[in-house]
Amino acid sequence: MMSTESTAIDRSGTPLVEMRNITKTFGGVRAVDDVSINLYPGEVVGLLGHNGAGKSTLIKILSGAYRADSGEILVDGQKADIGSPRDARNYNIETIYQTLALADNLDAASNLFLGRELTNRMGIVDDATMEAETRKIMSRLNPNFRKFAAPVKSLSGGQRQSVAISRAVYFNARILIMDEPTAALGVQETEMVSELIQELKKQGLGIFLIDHDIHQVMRMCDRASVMKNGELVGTVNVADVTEDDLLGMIILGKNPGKAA
Amino acid sequence: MSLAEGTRPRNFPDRLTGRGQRILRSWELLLFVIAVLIFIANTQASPYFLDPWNLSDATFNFTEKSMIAFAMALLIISGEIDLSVAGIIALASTAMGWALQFGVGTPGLVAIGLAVGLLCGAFNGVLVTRLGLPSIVVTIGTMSLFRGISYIVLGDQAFNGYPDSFAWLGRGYVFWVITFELTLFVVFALIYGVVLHKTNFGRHVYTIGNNPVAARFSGIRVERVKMILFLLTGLMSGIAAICLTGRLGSTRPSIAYAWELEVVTMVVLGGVSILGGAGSILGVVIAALVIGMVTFGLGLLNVPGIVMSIFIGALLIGVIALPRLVTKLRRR
Repeated sequence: MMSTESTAIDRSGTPLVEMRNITKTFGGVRAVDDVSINLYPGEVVGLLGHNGAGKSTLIKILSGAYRADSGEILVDGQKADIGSPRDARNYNIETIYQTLALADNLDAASNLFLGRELTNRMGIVDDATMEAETRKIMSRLNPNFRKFAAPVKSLSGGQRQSVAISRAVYFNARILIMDEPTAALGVQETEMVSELIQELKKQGLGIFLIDHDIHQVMRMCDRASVMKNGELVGTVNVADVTEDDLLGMIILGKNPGKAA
Repeated sequence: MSLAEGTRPRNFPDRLTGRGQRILRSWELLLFVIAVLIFIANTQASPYFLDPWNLSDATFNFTEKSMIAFAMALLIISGEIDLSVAGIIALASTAMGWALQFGVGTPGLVAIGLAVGLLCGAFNGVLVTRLGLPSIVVTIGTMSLFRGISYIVLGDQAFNGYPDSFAWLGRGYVFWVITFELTLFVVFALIYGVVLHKTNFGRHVYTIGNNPVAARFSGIRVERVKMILFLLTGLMSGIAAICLTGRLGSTRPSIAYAWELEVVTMVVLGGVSILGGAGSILGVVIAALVIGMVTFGLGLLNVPGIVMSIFIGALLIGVIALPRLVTKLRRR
């Protein structure tokens, strides 16, 4: 459905992010073994693989949760030193988890500004301005969102996800990492999130999408990188392959020979 | 922005339950009602209760403990706990009494009390944040460790002879019946209320208690915030040690024995979630008043201490069970 758009990505320039020859071992187990992937502006790259294939470890290196044993990360062609989630933020890399991203007892505005609260000169948090800003961005992203004053634990999965995504958009993320963004959502909410992703693409963000659902990846991604046993099986243009090709890569580690 | 195309903000009311309703359902209001009831019961129990000087005396039942409870509330909201606070009081008091033997004056004693409090807090904080040990285990250990040092130094002896200027910190009056301790209580309540509810530091405390992973990924320095909270709890214990030592006029190793339980009771009774992530300073303030008045009222009735602790325990369980019982009965 989205395959017509995927050919329009311009990959002649410098990638937004490049991870080169990344290796990470945990006590003798090679979780990630010499993997290189990249991401261009306006592109969604799916990361596929079994549990334990190494995709989460790889992406946690990019988001600053782990440090790679070897290899390098380039942002806009410049070598980037990412040692903590805070560093990742400074490179405009934002991570969105299905369940982990929000503080349940706080309201939408507090969650939007988590760790970056607006304060006045006295250091007092400015709740009124934060709520106004939240209303502004929500009217763009999810106009039906009404529960600004309620703790986010009372929101539906889709509403929670829109709070998490609005945070990334508000703070001008350029690189978005989404870990199974639709895993706990209903059909309609999944549709809403996938529309959001298309909008973010148009604004030139690059998105890494970790997902188990091949159908979802075929629909939303431009390219897919498949990992198995810590190694990169290959990266393919989603438009050039079938779901069976992707399945073969995931299960058998077989590259269909259509590398992108 | 392209996202704005085709979408226009619509205006629906987004609060189906109003502000008034939220206050009516709040824990703080329930607690306040209980405080009023206990106050009325106390006036019935003793004709001397309403005497201003008597009420002033009553405040000693909660001022020192509640100072620690404010810092403890933040610590528990962040998902940690410090059970060594009474041990810190014992150690700080012993250190001050020991220094007194060398002729250290009031300013020096105060400095020593604060320093020991901070050092003990730092010790707990380093073990929890650097070594990643669970705070409940660490502070159960340091609870015995800190008080154990006091026992080694003092044995069955006591340090006496604190100067009057030092005693004033525990028994002095700032104005009429308003004690120095009560003034500290009010000042600290305001400070901690503003810090927890109105600063980004307070927001980070809530976030860490709600979701430490989200906090870390939001760029919050989780370990640093927790370290600060352990330091604050230690410091407040040091301040409580100064007040209590001044008030009692002597140091024994059994000073403030089992206070950690009363402090935690105060915090939990105040509506702070023992699981972290929720609670308010207002709740802790009212809980302090409730506990203070209950113990004092029972004291007026000559109820022995052990019965008092039974009563406080029953009150804690009762108040916490009440809202759940009500919702269960409503569902039927």
